[in-house]
Amino acid sequence: MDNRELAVSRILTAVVSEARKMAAEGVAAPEDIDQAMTNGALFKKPPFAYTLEVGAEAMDARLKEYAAKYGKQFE
Amino acid sequence: MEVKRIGIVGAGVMGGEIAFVATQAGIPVVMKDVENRFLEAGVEKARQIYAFKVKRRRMTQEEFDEKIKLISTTLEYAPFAEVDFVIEAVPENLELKQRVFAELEAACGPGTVLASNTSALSITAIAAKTGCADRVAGMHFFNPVSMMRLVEVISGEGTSESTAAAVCALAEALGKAPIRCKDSAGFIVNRLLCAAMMEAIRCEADGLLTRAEIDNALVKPDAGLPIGLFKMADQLGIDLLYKVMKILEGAFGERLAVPGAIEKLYEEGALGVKAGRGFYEYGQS
Repeated sequence: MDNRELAVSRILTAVVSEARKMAAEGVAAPEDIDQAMTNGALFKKPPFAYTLEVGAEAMDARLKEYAAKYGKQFE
Repeated sequence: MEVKRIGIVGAGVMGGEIAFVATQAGIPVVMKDVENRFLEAGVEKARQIYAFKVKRRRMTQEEFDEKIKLISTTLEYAPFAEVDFVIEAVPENLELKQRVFAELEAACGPGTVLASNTSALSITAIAAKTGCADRVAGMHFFNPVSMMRLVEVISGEGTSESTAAAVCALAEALGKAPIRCKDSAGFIVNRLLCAAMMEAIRCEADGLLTRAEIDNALVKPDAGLPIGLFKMADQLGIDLLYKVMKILEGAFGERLAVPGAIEKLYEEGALGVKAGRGFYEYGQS
């Protein structure tokens, strides 16, 4: 992964981490969160669709790795 | 509930854009503000969007005139006795919004839905100085309102189900895609956008790439953002972001704390495009 890919990965994964907390808090359902990011921020890869693309297990592993390397925002 | 007339409080750019989407759907609006120059600016915003349609031949001059006739303005609340739905779009200041909602309670009929277009403040707090929290909800439009389909519909602690349903129904009547969410700091989009911006700032601070390189990577097809995050921050305004991020920091702590880079720009008055400088430099216009 080059630096460009890593930056994109970190940024989209930070959104995944926060979106998971948001869904767990009951602020909105995952599909509604994705739709909001698509229609309100024009994200082509909203967090839960991005997770499917990466693969759920690969995303879990990535979140762990990034939390260790880059900080609490990925916990 | 069919909405026959909408009251808009706060005739800034947002108020003008909301007047446009409402009248486009054929619903008359009355805009209220505290000074004529604000009312003029709000009406002008709606006129500009319609004028562009005339220029592109998507609308005739007669249709333009009919639409503009649907917009009236006022410095007093008196005409609000006749509206069945209010959208508040005054500056993001809790005390100001609390006062406006108390005034609306007094000015409007007992069945009027009172919606706030706040992007960051708590709906429960905004309704706290009224005796009609059941009729108060959040109706958060996104800029530019004429282009963006999302409306976040927020229920505060006291919001009734019928009020939230009425806000959703109006959003749909305006051609929008409402999404309901709880009264939580930053609602959905601002919280997640700020999380993305904070990580972009960390990537730059870690020496991974420059901000221009990060923005460039984000708009490539693999990431697919319409605009880079640093550029978006400058367009939204560093002052607005600072306020939203402060609220997020207060609600969620260290992981969503205001980044040093944002604090620095804010203190320097480098508030983005409108100030000629933010994360990037802009020519004076």
